[in-house]
Amino acid sequence: MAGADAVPLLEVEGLDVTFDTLGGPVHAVRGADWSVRQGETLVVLGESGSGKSVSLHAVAGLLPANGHTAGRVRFQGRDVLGLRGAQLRRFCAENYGMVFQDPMSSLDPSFTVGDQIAEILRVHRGASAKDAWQRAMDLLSVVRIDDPARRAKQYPHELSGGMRQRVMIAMAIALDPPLFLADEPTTALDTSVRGAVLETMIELRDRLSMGVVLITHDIGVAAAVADRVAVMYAGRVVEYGTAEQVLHQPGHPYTAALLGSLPRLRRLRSTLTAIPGAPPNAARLPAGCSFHPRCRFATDRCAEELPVLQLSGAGQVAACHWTERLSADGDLGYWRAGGDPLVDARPGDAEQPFVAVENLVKEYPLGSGRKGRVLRAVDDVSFTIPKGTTLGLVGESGSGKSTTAMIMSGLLAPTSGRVVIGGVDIARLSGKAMRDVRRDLQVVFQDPYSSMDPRMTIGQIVDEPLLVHKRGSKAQRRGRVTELLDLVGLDGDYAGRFPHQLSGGQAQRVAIARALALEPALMVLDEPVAALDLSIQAQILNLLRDLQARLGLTYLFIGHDLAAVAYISDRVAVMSSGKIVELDRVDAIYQRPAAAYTRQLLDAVLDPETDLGRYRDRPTTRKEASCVPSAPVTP
Amino acid sequence: MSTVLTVPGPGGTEPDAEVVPAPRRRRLLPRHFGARIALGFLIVGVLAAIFAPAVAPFDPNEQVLLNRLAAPSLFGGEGGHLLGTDELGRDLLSRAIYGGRVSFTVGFVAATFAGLLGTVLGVVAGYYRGIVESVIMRTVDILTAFPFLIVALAVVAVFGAKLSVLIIVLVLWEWVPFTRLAHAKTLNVVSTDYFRAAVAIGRRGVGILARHVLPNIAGPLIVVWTFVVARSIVIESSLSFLGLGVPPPTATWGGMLSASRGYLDTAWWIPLVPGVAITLVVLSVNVVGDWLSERWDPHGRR
Repeated sequence: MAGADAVPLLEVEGLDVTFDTLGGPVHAVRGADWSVRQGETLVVLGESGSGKSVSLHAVAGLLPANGHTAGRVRFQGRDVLGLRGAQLRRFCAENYGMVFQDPMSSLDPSFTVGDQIAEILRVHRGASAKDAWQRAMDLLSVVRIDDPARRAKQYPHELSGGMRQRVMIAMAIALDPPLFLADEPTTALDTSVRGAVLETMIELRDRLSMGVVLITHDIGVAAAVADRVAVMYAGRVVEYGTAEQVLHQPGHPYTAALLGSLPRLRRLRSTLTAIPGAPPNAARLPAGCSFHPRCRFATDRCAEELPVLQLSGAGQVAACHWTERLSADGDLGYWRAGGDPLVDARPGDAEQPFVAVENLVKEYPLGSGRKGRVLRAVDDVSFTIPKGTTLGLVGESGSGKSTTAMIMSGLLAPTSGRVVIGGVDIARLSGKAMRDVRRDLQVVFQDPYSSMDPRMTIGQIVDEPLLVHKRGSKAQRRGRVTELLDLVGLDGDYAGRFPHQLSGGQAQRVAIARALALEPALMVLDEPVAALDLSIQAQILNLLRDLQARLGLTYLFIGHDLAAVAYISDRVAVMSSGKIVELDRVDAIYQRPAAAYTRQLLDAVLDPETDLGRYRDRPTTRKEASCVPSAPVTP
Repeated sequence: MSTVLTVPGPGGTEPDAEVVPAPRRRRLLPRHFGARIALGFLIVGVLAAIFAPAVAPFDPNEQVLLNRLAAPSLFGGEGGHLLGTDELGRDLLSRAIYGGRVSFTVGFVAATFAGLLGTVLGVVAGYYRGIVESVIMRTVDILTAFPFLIVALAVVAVFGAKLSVLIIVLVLWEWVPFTRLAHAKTLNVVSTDYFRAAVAIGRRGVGILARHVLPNIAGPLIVVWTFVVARSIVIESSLSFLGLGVPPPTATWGGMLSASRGYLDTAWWIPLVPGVAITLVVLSVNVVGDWLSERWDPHGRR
């Protein structure tokens, strides 16, 4: 960690970003302040639309042509916002190393990764082809890619997601930049490789004494790597301080509420304290504090007067009128409450299962299929779900969990095996009989927008299952639609709107209402919260738990986030490469994981309370002299 | 280009602090100035063609040989013909209006029937797949490889140059682009979550095609329809120009163009009148098509 007296490498003061749009100017960032010093990691934490990525793009000169900036951004005392064209490009190439969310689309698919790294050195350092290639391989070993000589000759599609992100990091540090900018670098990666990539970034930061700015929506990631944290909401920094201060003793109600919305393995049986409502639209912010409509501590003053963030030295600051009082009373510590030990009194295996899946297999032919080579997406999977309980199915991308979900919802025929739901094997059904079973079997997809016909109104969408199955007269159905919307916490007025006019959380509520319309017995929930912001995710998880308790529903909940899956499930099945590697009650999985893969997944879960500084503070155990980057290649 | 990232309004359990305005009624007329002009021009043109006997100042086939090649009075010519007369002394304005009857009939009828046939085949191929898909799409491939003019020549030689023959040939030809597009778009829709959700609800067969597939592929098909309308008009004109279209003395734009060949240096207005008519109609149809497909898109309705 850097000393307190270190000179800031990058200073952002009162940064404003406005976009000209057809609907008028949209003020995306409103006076953001933060700075980062050499050898320090600053994490900018926020939900979608908070302005975190836009402020980074402004700093890096990546705004589209309709974006305008105001305020000051200084890099080592030099003004950045005034730079234009070639000057700006050269400045960014020399001083910033940048990594983005999707390593696949950031790499050119038709060149080898070695070529792509070497190109940077040839263009910017005028290195010879041979020197550049040699240095490219050095860089690949620096980012801990094994066998760099072989990997350098491979194309991006031949590498795994984690390796591609390492290649991106290698490209970012190729010119020894003083500052490393990372925009959601681990969001597209599986959790099991996330830790290693973060660790590599921090290791490189220390070795090259870079400053790091990391943008993320993930509190766990922020806690694990940050020296300091800036929390953004609605275009403003609402809290700023060290990771310990901000994430353990939050001074702003929003930060505390975010922590309360995060499903955590240590507190599975306490209800998440979801933040009501949705983040405001940048074009129409509420008066006063932007957060006050959703804040549990809001007063009249909050609705009238905008609290200003007073930057004072290195201390923790929060843009809230009541921080001092709330902190003194301990009101902001509610997110820590309710950490009961797990004692599971819910039904176990003994009960008669409602769903029984036996030896389920789904194969896809590979290539032309003539050689008989097949991909086993689902490989001999068996499980049961007792009535009224939830089975969580957790796995990483490519584990076969979504294929299982599709088969379970009757949308895909298995290659072999039985799926018995309420005594009927749906794998063998077709036509009329299948249609009858479908009533009892509904599905909720990951992306609520794409799961609704964009041409239909909310009312028509929720009404459709009733219409298809001829449930009552038009007037009766209209009443039922209002009832269903009310059940998922939506006002009946929403019936006249189109899906694209809803927020993500509202849209997912509509999808749940549609699934409930036929009073199904089983709901297949295919990553229903993965596309939602954390504060909305907690609302939906709580809604699902509540609906289950009221309607006696049986759930199959698919997810990749073990903590979220565990929060809603009674039992959890861990899937890997098409197989279930472990299936047990939640408390058992958490306390006595049997499979190595389960332990690995559990270990990868980042809890801001216990994993603070996990990758930041890890002593560099591996010392490889050969890995120290060679001096910049000179022409 | 979406201006608003997410729509505000707290999600659900809380009373709405900021209610999204309910969707406004769709505008009947295009907002865009160019689209208004194009739509207006088409409506006037079609009405003029329908009511040609009432609108046209002269009989289109009445020959007044004393008044041959009269310059348009619109541009200062004498002879009392607004757009002048042709080599047989026929009034060009009247002929252009009557010619519109043939062009509009061929364009709209051929494109509409081709569109219906092609869309149905494309959707069926995309939804049912298998052998049906193979037969339909291979037919498309084969037709694409045929030289149209030669086929048209052969058909006209056998059945004679009649309006109905021309339309049938065009329909049997122009369904191909609709099928290609409808097939590709149907495959897209079938892989969406909202299609899967509809299957999970119990929608099947014609119901799911009519409710979820057709409306969601219609936008681009409308654009293709306008292209095909325009192209059919041009093809009809070309065939008439080659003497394969509707036979004289019936007024057609292509036939007028063809007849003007010998007078290009002495009577410039003869080719100009049908030429401008074809250009303006084709342009207008395209502009109106763009507007229609935009109007079809639910995201445009805020």
